[in-house]
Amino acid sequence: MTDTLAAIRAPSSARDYIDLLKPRVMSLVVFTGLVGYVAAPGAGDLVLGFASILALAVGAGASGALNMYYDADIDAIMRRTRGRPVPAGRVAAAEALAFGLFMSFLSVILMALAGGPLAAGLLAFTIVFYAVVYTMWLKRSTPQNIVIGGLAGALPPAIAWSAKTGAVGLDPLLLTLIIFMWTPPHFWALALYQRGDYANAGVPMLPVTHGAKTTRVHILVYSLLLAPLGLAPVATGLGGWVYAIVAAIGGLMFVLLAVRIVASKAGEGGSAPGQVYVAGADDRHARNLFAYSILYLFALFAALLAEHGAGLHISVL
Amino acid sequence: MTETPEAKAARLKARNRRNLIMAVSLVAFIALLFLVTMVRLQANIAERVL
Repeated sequence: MTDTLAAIRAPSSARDYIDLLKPRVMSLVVFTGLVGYVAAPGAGDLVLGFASILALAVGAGASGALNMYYDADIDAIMRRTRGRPVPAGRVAAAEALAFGLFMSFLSVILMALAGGPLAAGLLAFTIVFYAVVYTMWLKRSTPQNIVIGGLAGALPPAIAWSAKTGAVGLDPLLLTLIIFMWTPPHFWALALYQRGDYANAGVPMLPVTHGAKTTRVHILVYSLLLAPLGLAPVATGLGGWVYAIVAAIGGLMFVLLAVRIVASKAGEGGSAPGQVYVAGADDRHARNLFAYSILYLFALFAALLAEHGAGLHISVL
Repeated sequence: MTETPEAKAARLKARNRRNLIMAVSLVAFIALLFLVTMVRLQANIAERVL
């Protein structure tokens, strides 16, 4: 019986389990968390810092595995995700669930030891928020899914900050708020040129429920909020001259790309729910903003890392 | 629908590899817990009021 079952499914490799952890999302979490840890006041300890960031990474990966377990039905329909281990049949859904739960437990335990109770509590909250509130509830029920659900991806700097200092103040909350505000235009840009996939899978992303034009306007509004918010750490002293220049130029570019999206017909490639996606010529504006948004967030946090990690911080005020 | 010898060999090889990675990960995790505990202990001893 065991042999028969095993023959149906190809053997899982270690690579499949790594894929379950969503390594690309994990890399963003590790990077923003690392910046939060480095920018937090105090000398910190190398071992505790490493363990805290590792716990953060494992927690993020565990969230990804739980997400892939629950979303296997949706992932199997969407072209972008149908090659993932669970829908592709390389890892059984129950294995993904067990793996995610086990890794969640390990990550919170490790964070409690290395970063203290507040950081561990925040990490546990983040995992539950992403796996339960976002994945099981918001994603399938409201076009505001990624707006509210974005909180899970926004918390890593605050978690890492609290792991080092034992507290959460205005500065880590600002970093969280920046990622929170960055998430909607980032994912809506993606959803604009992949809305056919979302529509077929029944995921109520904004372009599917309210159309491309409304989405383009929303992208601009959030970009207009994000650009000045990106400069806020300068006012608190967290960001110095390097950060200020990166945030000012980067924010301006973000808004300009959002304006180009609004002026375009991006997301109007001809797909409606149930239809096969047809790429529109103006979709390149959405692709540009999606790619640029990653660069923007990376540049903001890299500037902070350079200032606080390499001693380049010169206060503007 | 029975498993071919080749498929069985591939499955066992993949399982052994997974087990090895799991064992190494667990040992690394225990070593990290030990290190973290030592660092915490050191810090607490240093802060102790004598």
